[in-house]
Amino acid sequence: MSRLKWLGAGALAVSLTAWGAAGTAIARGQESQTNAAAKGDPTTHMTPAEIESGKLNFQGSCGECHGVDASGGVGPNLHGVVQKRGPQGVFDIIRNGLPGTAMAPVSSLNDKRAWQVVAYLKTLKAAPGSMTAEGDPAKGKELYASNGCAMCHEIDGKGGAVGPPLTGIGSMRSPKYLEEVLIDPAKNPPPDPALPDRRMWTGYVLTKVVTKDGKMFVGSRVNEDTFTITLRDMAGNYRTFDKSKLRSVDKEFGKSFMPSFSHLSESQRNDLVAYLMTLKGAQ
Amino acid sequence: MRIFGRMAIALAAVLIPAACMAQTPVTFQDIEHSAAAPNPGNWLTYGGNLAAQRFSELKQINTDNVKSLKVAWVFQMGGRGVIESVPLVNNGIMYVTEPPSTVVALDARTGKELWQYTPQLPRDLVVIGLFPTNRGVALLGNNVYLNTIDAHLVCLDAKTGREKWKVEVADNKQGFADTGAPLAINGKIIVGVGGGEAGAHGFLSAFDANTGKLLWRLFTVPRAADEPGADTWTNGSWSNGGGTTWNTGSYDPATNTIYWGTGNPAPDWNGKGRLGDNLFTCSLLAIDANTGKMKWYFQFSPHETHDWDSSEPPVLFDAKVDGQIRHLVALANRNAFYYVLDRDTGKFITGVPFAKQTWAKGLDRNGRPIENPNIEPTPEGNLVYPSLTGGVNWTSPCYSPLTGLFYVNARDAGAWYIQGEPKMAPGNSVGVVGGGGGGGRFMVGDQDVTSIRALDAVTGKRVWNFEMVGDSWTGVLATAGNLVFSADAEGNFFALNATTGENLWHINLGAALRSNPMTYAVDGHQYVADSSGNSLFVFDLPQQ
Repeated sequence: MSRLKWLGAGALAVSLTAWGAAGTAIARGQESQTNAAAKGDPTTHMTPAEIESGKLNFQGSCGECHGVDASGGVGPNLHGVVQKRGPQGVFDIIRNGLPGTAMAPVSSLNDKRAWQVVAYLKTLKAAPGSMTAEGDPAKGKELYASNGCAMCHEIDGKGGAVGPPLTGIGSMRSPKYLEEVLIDPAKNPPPDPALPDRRMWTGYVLTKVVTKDGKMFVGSRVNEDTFTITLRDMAGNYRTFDKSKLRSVDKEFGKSFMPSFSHLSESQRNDLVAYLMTLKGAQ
Repeated sequence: MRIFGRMAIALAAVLIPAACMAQTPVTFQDIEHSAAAPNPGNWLTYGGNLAAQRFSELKQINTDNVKSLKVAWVFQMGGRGVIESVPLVNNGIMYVTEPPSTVVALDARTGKELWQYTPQLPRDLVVIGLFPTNRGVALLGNNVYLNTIDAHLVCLDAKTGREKWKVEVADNKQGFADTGAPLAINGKIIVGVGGGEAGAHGFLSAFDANTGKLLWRLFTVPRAADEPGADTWTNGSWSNGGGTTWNTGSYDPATNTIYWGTGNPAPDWNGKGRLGDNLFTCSLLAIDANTGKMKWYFQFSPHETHDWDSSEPPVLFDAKVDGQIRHLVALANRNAFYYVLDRDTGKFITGVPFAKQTWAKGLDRNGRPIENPNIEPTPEGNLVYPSLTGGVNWTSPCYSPLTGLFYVNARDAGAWYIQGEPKMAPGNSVGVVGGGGGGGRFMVGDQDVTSIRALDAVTGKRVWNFEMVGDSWTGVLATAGNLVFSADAEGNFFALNATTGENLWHINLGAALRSNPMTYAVDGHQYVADSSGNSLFVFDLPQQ
């Protein structure tokens, strides 16, 4: 706790737990694969020039979140995504976005270009083993319980709301990412699904505000504009402040409510990651 | 030149009650006095006045009472898309556009629709750049002039919305598009073109306001080896084009001079094949309105490789420099420098950064940038400030003759610039990356900071700063009520004290505002307007 310089120990006398990435809504995938079979797959007869155009479009419209080479960034790694969700499934996500995540409909791509992007992504196969974890999921589930992860994270409707819900985390993130987060939770924070994150703000930013009459509040920022800021406290309650009535607003970028789990053994972390990778959401 | 003087403003700002709403012809003299006496309630041209100052002499809404501002009416637009339109108002009738190219006439007191016009657009429309939009119309005589997304100029009957004539400005199949508002001057309609991402060869055109006949056309990039500027492009690379003219310029009636900015050279982020200064891209052009001949040019970013178009509105004003009144033109450039030039000669007077920049040590005595090393885009991405979207982009700044300040929505973010292999072909635009030979990754969220910034208009020195949360894309409006209006990215429309920057009023409209605010009056009652999301919001004070 000492790394959180201004967080009162009393306010955070809660066991802190694992976090991963945003997003649970993945039900669309199965339906989409059915559609693909019915409609045919435009990516099957695309020329190399069209696929190249898809690559360039991907870099321009998607690379900002998913990495210029689609290896992931704020958004997940997309290598193997077409094999997993089907061409129509990926196309539908480009068109409609993924509700509950920061993935918004991509209006800058028309249908033709969106299909070219799908064709390009189809050429990116998942690296062997990149989406499978080495550990024992059963042991990982026990570790999840014994470390109090559920106090902050929700799985299938059960658990806390301080950190991101983990119901579909195994579909959203790679084991490598989860391993990194367990060691350094603040390194690559995911967007907060609680906020309409159109501007891709840093998610789960620890924030302390002090009112002009000296009252201090600490929480995770869930919304902010020029005049107001909304925090969510450890109990999941929201508080909105008029900034003109605040003495100070301190945002601790690079810090997280979640403690590091570097004290677990590597094999324990592998078990925990293996368990998290079994959480595939509503599919 | 009265509209540029400071002194006259103080004498003039009196509301003249208009008769009831009626479509009346707009004369060139009316446009010369837009947003000023004797009819300050009219906003007749995109930039508020021909000097593009976006300053209104209206002062019924002022620093004392702005806190009582309330919604007067809301117009829900049809269709989808980003609203970037600035409404024009003539004698109680408002003309506003919806994306991609629809014009709507409204009763400016009630928001009730009078007519609308949507052009027939080709089914295989080539969309260049980010998204189809339209920034507004021009008015002259009994006509409304519209630039369309398929690069046509349309003349409508202002009473009925009926199409009088329509001419092609450029071939949309070659990658041209028009999103900016036309500029109406005496008997002529001045129209630019967009399409820089597709390597469109930029030009500016003047059309006869009555007939639509093309009067002249000025190309901004050479078209042959013996044309001026061709020697600033190696190996005939001028043939790739660039230098588009997609935003609206300004006009000085005293010298009959049009001022218009030009966009990036093509291909954009990869300059290896086009060594040299690449004239007349990323420049301000001063143009004889009768002949279309260039009087002078000033290039802000020679051999540009970061998408820093110089398309920002050139703002004209007169002010003392070293004790002498000078005719000036100021431009807050996408490259993050604020420039002041002598508008009669093009001579450089001032140039200072107004937003965070890491690409230049400064400017030399002629205003040419002294570049830092290692600023070129790379295949991996090279972090340079400002970002692709620039220290400012298309959103308009404003100038108040009352305060002598220049107000701009400034962005202090960088981008990782990526160099790709250019694939230039007519009409070939693959998003930001691709045809243009690269692109970039933006800073987002908390890293992407915008502020309303007040600069001393002559020296560029920062006088005050109002920092916002998020990446705001709203222009700025100044009024004789000593107010500055703008908005943040989160949907807050607000008023600031023009002298101090103090926030006096705000309202959350629920969606980002992506257009320039404007103000007008009907029957002596002042309104302020801007668009949020899909709706046009209009505000006024409670009636006494």
